[in-house]
Amino acid sequence: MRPFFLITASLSIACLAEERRVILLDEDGWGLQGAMVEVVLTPPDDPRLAGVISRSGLTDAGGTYLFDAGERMILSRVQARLDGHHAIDADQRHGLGRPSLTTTTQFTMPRVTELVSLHYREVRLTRLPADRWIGFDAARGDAVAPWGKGQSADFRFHLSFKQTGWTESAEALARLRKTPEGRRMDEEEWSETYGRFEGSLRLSFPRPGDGIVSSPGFWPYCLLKMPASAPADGYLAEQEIRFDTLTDMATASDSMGSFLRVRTQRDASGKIISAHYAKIHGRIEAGPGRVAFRFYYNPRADDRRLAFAPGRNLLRPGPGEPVHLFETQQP
Amino acid sequence: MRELCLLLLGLGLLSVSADPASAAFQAGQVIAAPELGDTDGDGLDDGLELQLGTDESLRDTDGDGWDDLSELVHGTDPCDPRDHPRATEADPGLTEEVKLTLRREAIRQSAWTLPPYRRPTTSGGVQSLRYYYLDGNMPDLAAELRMTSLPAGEYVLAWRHLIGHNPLDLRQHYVVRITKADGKVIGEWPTPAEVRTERSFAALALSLTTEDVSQPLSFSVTPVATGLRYAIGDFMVLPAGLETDEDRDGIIASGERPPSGRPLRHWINDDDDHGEWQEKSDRPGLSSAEADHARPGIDGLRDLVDFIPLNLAIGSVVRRLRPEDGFSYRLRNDDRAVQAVVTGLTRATVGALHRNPALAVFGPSLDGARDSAEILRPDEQGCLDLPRSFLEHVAAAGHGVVLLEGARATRKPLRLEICKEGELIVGLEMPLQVGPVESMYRQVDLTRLASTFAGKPLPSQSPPRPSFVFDPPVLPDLENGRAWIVMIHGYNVSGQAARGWHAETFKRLRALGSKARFVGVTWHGDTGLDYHEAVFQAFLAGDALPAALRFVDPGRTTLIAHSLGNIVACQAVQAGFTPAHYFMLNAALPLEAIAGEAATAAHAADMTEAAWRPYPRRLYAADWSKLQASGRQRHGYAWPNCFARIRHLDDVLNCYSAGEDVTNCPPYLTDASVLAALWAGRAIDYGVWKTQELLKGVGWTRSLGSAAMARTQGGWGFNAAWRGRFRPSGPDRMLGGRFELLPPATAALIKDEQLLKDPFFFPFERRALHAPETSPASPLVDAPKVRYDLLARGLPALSPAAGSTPLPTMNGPGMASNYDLEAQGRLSHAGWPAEGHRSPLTQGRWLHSDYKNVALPYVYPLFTMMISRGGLR
Repeated sequence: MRPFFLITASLSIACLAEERRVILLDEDGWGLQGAMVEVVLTPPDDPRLAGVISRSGLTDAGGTYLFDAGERMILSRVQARLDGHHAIDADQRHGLGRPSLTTTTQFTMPRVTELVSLHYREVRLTRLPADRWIGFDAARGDAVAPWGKGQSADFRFHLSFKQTGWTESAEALARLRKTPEGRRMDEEEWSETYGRFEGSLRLSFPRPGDGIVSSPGFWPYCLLKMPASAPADGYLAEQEIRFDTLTDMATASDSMGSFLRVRTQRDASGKIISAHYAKIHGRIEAGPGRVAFRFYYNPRADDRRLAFAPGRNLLRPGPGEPVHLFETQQP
Repeated sequence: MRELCLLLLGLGLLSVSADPASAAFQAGQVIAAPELGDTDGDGLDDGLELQLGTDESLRDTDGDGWDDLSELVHGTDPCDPRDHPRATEADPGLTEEVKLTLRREAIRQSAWTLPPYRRPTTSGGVQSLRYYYLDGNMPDLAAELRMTSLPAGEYVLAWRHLIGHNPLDLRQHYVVRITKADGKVIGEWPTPAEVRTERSFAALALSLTTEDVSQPLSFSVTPVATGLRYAIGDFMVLPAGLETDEDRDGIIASGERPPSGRPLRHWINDDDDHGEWQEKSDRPGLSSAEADHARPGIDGLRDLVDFIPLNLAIGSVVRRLRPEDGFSYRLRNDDRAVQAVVTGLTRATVGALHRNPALAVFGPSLDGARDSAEILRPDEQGCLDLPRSFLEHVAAAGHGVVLLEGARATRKPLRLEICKEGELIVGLEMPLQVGPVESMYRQVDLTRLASTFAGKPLPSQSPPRPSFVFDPPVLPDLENGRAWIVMIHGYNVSGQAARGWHAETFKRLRALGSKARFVGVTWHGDTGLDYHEAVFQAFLAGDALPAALRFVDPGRTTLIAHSLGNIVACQAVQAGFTPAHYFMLNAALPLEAIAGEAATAAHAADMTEAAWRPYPRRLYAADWSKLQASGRQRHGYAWPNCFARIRHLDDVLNCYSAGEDVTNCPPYLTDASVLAALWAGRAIDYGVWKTQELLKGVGWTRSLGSAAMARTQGGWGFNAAWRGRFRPSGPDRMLGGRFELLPPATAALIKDEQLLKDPFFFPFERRALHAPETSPASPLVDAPKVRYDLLARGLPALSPAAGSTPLPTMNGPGMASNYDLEAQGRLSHAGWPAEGHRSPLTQGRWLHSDYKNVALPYVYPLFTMMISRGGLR
């Protein structure tokens, strides 16, 4: 009898469904009640859509949606909608899709705010010299001459780097050197392509009050991934970003952002009376001779709104400039 | 504002007599009005007032409140106070006050003169000129325009004629001619025409170029017949033309149409589109019964790409030649080659056709949804009548857009004909050529080069369109730019299905403005369940592609490849083809093939088959090449940097979708053995690419799925030579049992030299690969196809596919970057088809083939990006 009881108990425990939670919060950390949540669960090692199950329901007063996850099922997707808030759609890029030790998953649903016209540009600067300050014109989204078409520097950056090795093994390099491209490349180009470089990108904001601050939030699973408005304070006049091409290639995450304040004007007491705000969506890529980032700038002074309305880019490509650098659907 | 320099010399001279004394009527020349002063300042010079019988010292001779000039313009008697202009609703151009500026021009003396002008009588007789006003309250035309500042454009010159008395019912002959000062004839209307005893209309279409309007123009009426008398009047010059979106920028500019002499080009809508999403191949060239042009309406949102807009800029004409007065308007092509849909689109909004999924411009009220659209079909004469409701819209808006659909091949022009009671008054013509879409681009067929590993030719089960690399007959290179697009399809696309892929991609690019010369490439990727065979074939096709593309200019080429077609493309680049741009669409190749191993090392754990995870990586088949001696060829038998040359291209764009279903690499897929039975039923529909990587080397005892793959080798199979303990099934060995795997800690002790001879993984089919590499190279093991075979079947990738994952940042002179299809390739607010995306996992996601399967209005940002970035416009 006893073994039977134990077996039965074990089976009972094994058949118990796993209860899991999805918690939805607003930007201030408060739970969002009444959000419609849909979770998608997939069985492990089953590559069929037919094996997928979903659950849906509303969050409670604390912003929690409780659901029966079934046995051994893996949470692979979470979608949620709530009026007045941006919808979320999270998947394996956001940590889902694999067995988890926790039964609670939490997301932030930022409030919907007005989308505004901004200057937008995919900044891609190459062939930059090392160990030299280079100015950046925020309104034009470009480096100042001779490295770009910018006119006046709102901030500047300084690249320094040195080669510390290679990104490929010696054997791989030997093989690549024998290819037509490898034979054609001079040492500089060879190093540029396969060299491992370590270095730093320093950002400097000389004007008092100007600066950069990391975004207080980043929600990669949401259409609006950064707060809709730039912070009022907390800007640092200097920032250093270290880079290592080898590790950056393998692990660099784009789930981050920064806000910038430029063209600050202060009164005699030091109080800010005017400024312009900008944001960088994603990480700032830096490498040997190279800086790239997605840049948004509000041309209206003292307007901290930075949620971009797609299709309303106030910055237009100049003659011969590639149009695709001026288009985005990302708010 | 247009200004018409009006010679009043033509006033009243509308009764043309065949009197030999006045054989020719050219108003400007006949009445020589010397330049005299204008004493009363009413705009008529004194000499003309003498002829008219008005008082040269009074602005308003009859004192009825209308000055002499205004009365003359309106055709009333300036000497009769009871006869003066009255504005009516029927003639909204007339107003109480008419301002007309006349210029006095020097008048050339003519050899002929006519008797002095007699003012018209109120007892009837011949009606003098009536002036119709173009928009802007300026008169249209006199009997002759000495000079005009009409802008260049398309016009209709219309007039009415009647014969007072024609007892013998003779046909009247006269010529209306528009000539430049140098005598060049711009337009001519040579009758005979029926001139009846009631006023009837005649018209002439004319086109004025910039050069034309820089010179004085003469509109003249020259009688040909003799002995007859008829009257001509009510001249109107009205802007009228057929306009197209020739540059396909989404806006029809005023006067925009194909350059002189070139036809409007379009294809026959002979595929089968439907809905907003379609997986089935929409191959062109279907029979009439199956083709979309035979269907009653627009066959789904996907079908809209097969329509092109035509703007009928005839508002002024319709307002004057009104349907309620018996005028009808029709489109005509003698080959019955076009059908039409009337819409409420405007010049500025035609772009919405391919950009707005919710376009509502159809139906009788021109504001209905797409399913209310009615296809107007031509009758036996090739005519299709434009509905009255549409004409009312045209009259009100000034123009109206119809969508044309090709139904047959033709080289005959498209005409807009204006008729009165069935009789043709005038036609506006546009040269037209409609033909099969595949006659608008080139085709390269590589399937004939397909062969098995043994070298045996592989005939295609579904023969593709044969290669055609010459100037396409329906869209000659002369009308395209110098850029090229080369498009390569993916896996499991038969030769016939490839026609649909190429046609749809071509149509979408062209509809959004591409002027590049398109080339569709077909290769042998239709290998059924054996995906690994398709990978092998992709390598072979890639080797052959550079030579097959020798007619293109690589420096102006945009290479676009979808899915496994990217292995064809990348191998072609490795083999020497160097395009200016390379766009990877949902690429089914591992990131490490381009970015190298280090850049993708973080993903390796997720891509490792579950049974192998406890074992050190040096035992994996994927790392077998590292065991080879440095500098040896086999060192390159690995996925990392397999396509390193891609990094040297000027522009590489990885268009990926994190939510796609085929190349997605879900972390929860780790074990091939569970996938076995599913594969046989083709029930696998998510993570297929990762599945086939996990299946490499897995024998049928672990996965029935491997039965679909030939030449199973390497991969995640275990070599029986390294078996561990034997576990009997019963109390003794008589009931059999199985060998366990060697424990990881023990396997880690195996030396490299031992692994070279006896790999831990299931040995390659070519056992000679496990012997030391010799010099010279052996064709048995060192031929390129051996490497391709290993990559396809025996060497698993340890990085996810580029189709669902962005490329990591890479060093190098090239500009490799990523394009997030879900975030950038569509509009976030436009919605997404539910059809084809019903699973909770795929709902709202951009799936593997959605760039083609989803209707263009949803995915147009991707195509406009490719056109912009590739310089295809």
